[in-house]
Amino acid sequence: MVDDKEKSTVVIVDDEEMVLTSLNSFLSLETEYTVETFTSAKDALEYIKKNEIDVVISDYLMPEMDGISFLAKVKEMRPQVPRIILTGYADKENAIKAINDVGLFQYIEKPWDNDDLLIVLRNGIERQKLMKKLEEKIAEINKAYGELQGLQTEIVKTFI
Amino acid sequence: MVKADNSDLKSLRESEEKYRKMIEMASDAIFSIEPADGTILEANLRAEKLTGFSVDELVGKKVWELHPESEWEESRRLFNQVVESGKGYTGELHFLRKDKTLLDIEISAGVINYGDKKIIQRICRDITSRVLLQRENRRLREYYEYILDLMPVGLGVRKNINGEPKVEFENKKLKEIFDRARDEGCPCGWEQSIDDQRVESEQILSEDGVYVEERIFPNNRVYQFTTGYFRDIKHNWRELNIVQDVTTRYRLEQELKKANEELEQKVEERTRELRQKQTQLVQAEKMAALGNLVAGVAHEINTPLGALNSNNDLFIRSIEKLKAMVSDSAAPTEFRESKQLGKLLENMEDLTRINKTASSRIINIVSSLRKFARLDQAEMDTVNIHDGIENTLTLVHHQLKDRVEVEKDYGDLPKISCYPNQLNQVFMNILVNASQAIEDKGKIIIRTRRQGGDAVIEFSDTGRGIPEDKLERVFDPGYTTKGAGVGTGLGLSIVHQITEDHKGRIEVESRVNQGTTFRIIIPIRGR
Ligand SMILES: Nc1ncnc2c1ncn2[C@@H]1O[C@H](COP(=O)(O)OP(=O)(O)OP(=O)(O)O)[C@@H](O)[C@H]1O
Ligand SMILES: [Mg+2]
Repeated sequence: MVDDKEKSTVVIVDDEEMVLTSLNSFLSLETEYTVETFTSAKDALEYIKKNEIDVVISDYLMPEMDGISFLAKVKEMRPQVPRIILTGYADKENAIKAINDVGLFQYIEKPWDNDDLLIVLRNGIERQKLMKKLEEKIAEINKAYGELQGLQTEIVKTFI
Repeated sequence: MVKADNSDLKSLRESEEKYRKMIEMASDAIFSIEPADGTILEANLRAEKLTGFSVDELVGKKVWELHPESEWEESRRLFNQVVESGKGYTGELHFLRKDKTLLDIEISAGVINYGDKKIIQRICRDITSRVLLQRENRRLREYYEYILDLMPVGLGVRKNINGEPKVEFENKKLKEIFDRARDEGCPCGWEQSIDDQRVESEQILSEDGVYVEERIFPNNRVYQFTTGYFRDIKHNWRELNIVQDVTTRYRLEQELKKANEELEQKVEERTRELRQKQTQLVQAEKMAALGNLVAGVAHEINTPLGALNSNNDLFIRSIEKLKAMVSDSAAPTEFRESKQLGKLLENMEDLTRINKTASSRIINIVSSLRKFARLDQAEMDTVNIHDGIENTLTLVHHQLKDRVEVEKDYGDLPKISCYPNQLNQVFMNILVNASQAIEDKGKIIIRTRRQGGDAVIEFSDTGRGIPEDKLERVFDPGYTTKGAGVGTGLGLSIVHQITEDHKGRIEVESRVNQGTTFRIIIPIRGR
C-alpha cells in the first residue's frame, strides 16, 4: 500500500439514502477513509470542484443526472480521480460502453459484495496515489530540467 | 283307268269339280306335273298371271323351264327329291317370266294320288313383297350397323342365356377396344369383362335405370361402362353397354386430384406455419414485456437488497469485532465473563448468518430472473448451456421443492452459439411441463452430452406420460390437456419453433404412467 498516512477521501453519490448509509458505515468500520456522501449529483460536483478527492463512486440510475454523465463531469474536473459506477441494472453492455466512452475505472453491480467493493476501492486509490506521485516526480524533473536550462543559458551568456 | 260304279263316279266327279274350282281360285300358281319327266300337265289361272305364259303355253313345258337356266338344276333336284321320297319340300326360287322379268317365288311341292296315278303338285307363291321387305330390313340393318360402327364409343348388346352372357351385337369400336385390351394382357372379351375383369370400380351412379361405372382393367386402362336394360320384341331382357376408354381423362383427373390435395396440404402447412409464427410473435412480445418488467423490478429490488445485504455483512463484521473486544484482556472483567453478553453475541451471529443465507437466496433469484429474461442478450451469443439450465432451475424451484427431485448428469459441453434467452424459454417450458406431469412425488433427470457437432440436452421425468396417439400432437399450437385457463398449449409449440430456429430438432419418447423424455439436439456451432 502506498503512503496511507494521509487520509484518502471517498465521494459517494446515490439517490437512495440507505445505500449511502450502508456504504458509509461499512467504510468507517473497515477503513480510515474520509467518506463524503451525496444524494444529489449536483451537490457532489460542487464539493469536488472545491476539494481534493481520491475516488468517486456513483449510482447509475438517478433522477436528475445519471451516473455516466456525472462521472464524465468529474473526469473533466479531476482527470486523475478513479471513477466507479454502481449499478442495479445488469446492463453489462451499456456499462462496458460507458467504461470505454467515459473512461470509468470500474463498475460494481448491486447488490454488491463488501469485500469486492473494498478491493476495487483500494485499487483505485492506490492507482490514484501512484499517478499523483508520478506527476510530482515529473514536475520535479521538469523543474530540475528548467533550472538546468537556466544554468546553461547563463553559462552561454558569460561566454558571449 | 279303274272302273267305278255310277254313284262313286258321280261323287268323284263332284269332288274333282270342287277341287278344280279351288285350284282355279287359288292365289298361288299350282301345277300338276308328270312325275316321270317333269312335264307340266295342268296349270291354273294364277300360274298364267305369275309366269306370263298362257295355260296352253305352260302345259307341255318341263317344270324347271319356268326358272332362269341357272336355277334349272336346283329346281330339278327339288323335283327329283319329291319324286323319290314322296315327301313335300319347300324352297325359294325365281320365275323367268315370258317378258323375261324375274319373280321371287316360294315353292312347295307334294305327291297326289290321282286315281291310281301319282301326280306331282307344285305350288308357287309370289313372295316379291316379302323379299322386298326382307331386303329393306337387311338394308336398314346394314345402315344402322354402319352408323353404329362410325360411333366413337364401343356399343354392344348381350343377353343372358342360363347365366352365360352371349353377345348379340358389338360395333367396330367395341371390338377395337377389347382387341387392344386382349393384346395388352386382359384375358377376356367385353362380355365377360363386365363381370370378371372388374379389378377396381369407381363411382356407380344410377339414374333412370342407367348405370355409369368406371372400371380399371389389368392393363391399367380405365373404361367407362354405361349400362342399360331393355326388352326386345319377344320381351326378353337385353343389356346394352356403351364402353369408352377414358384412361386419359381418368389420369388427368387423378393428377388434378393429387395436385389439389397437394395444394390443400400446402395451404394447411402454410397456415400452420403462420399460426406458429404468430404464436411465437405473441410469445416474443410477451417475453419482451416480461424482460422490461424484470429489468425494472430487478433494479428496484437490487438497491434495497444491496443495502440489506451490505448491512448484514456489516453486522457480521461488527459482531466479529465486538467479540474480539470483549475477549480482549484489556476489556473489563464483567464484560469478559458475562454469560448474557456471550449468549447475545451468539444469537446475533446465528441471526446474521441466517440473514445472509436469506439475502443470498433473494440475490440468486433476482439474478436468475434477470439472466433468464436476458434483455441485453436477445442476440446470438456463445454461452454455457449448463448456466442456462441452472438459472431456469432456480426459477422453477418453487414448483419442484421437495416434491420433485432433480438429478443432473451434465456431460462435457462446449459453449454453444445460440439465443440464450430463447433456449432458457425452452428449458423453462419443458421443466414446468415435467413438474406438472408429476402428480405426487417424482424425479426429473437432466442429461447433457456432446454428440458429434451437436449438443444433446435431455429432460426425463417420472410423470404420467403421454399416450402414443397423442405424441405427435403435443407440439401443435393450442394442444393442451390442462384445461382452459390453465394451459395455453403454446409451450411445446414454442419449444419446437425455437429448436428449429437453432437448426436443431426435438424428440419425445413417452410411456404412460412411467414418464416422458424430451430430447433437444442443437448444433454447437449454430447456424
Ligand atoms: N412431460 C410431460 N409429460 C406428460 N405430458 C406432457 C409433458 N409435456 C407436455 N405434455 C402434454 O403436452 C401438452 C402440451 O404441452 P404444452 O407445453 O404445449 O402446453 P401446456 O403445458 O398444456 O400449456 P402451457 O405451456 O401454456 O402451460 C400438455 O397439455 C400435456 O398434455
Ligand atoms: Mg407447457
